[in-house]
Amino acid sequence: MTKERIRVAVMLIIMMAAGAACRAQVPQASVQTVAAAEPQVKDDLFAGTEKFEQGATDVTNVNLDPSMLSMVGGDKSAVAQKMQFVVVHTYRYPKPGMYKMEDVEPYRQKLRAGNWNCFIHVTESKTGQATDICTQPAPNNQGKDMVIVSAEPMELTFVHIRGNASVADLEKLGGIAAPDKTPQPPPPPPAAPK
Amino acid sequence: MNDPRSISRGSQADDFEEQLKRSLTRVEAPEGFAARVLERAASERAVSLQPRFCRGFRLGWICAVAAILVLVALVANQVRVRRERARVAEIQAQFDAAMRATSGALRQTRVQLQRVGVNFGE
Repeated sequence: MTKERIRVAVMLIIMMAAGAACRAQVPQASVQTVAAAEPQVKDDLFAGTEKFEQGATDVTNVNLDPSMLSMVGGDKSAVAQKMQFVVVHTYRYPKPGMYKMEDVEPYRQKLRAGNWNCFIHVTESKTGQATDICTQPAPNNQGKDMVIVSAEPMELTFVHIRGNASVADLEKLGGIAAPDKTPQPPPPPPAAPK
Repeated sequence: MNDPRSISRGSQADDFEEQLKRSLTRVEAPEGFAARVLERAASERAVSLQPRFCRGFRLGWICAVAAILVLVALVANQVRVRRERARVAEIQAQFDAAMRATSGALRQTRVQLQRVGVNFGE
């Protein structure tokens, strides 16, 4: 009886030790959704945007490298495969005036000073919102870099995407269909009164 | 009646009977005999009935440890698969959020440009 107890105790110890070793080998994955635990891509262009988190009610930080983009499945995988990386920082505020527009200006200055082609700069004086869209060829023939800086009264968005995805691809993935470009036949003239 | 041969036969039978009685008389074992016999039996190595290759090993222990290790490996694999699936789902959610934010910014730009008669994206 004593030998049986010793045998059972040793088996339990072996199982516990094996279980502990097994848990140590399995990496602990982050379970944060809509927020990268550690940046995969080092994006110097928008370094320091963490300061806009102050006062924000909703913060979205996305940082996806090629290996992670290859895991995107479904009907979005085709567009995801076109991208080299995706870096997005979005800050939503409960009311206007929670961040300073002049704090956004240094990032616009970076785009204007570099080799960026800022083909869109829209400013609305009534609401104070401004949007800049810039592109430049990506190094090593990786497509192009596209940057979007959108400053609205209650929302601030920084987007940096590298790859071959088009604007239409991005809009389609976001659930907003691009305008129908197929030429429509002219409407028939109204019937003349008798 | 007084035959010398008959007298001799009778004395021989008595002698034989005496010898037989002496031979079959119970003789007590010397002191400590039983203890010595038990001690000698315990010190002698028992003849093992196990096969030669199992002598010195506990086959049951080996089988038990092997079964435990196989079970642990199976459980670890299941845990790894589940973690991978969770990781993929997390990446999918991040990508969807990024695309929603991007398309939202593009939509705002499109609306603003359309107000001034510029069709963006065509």
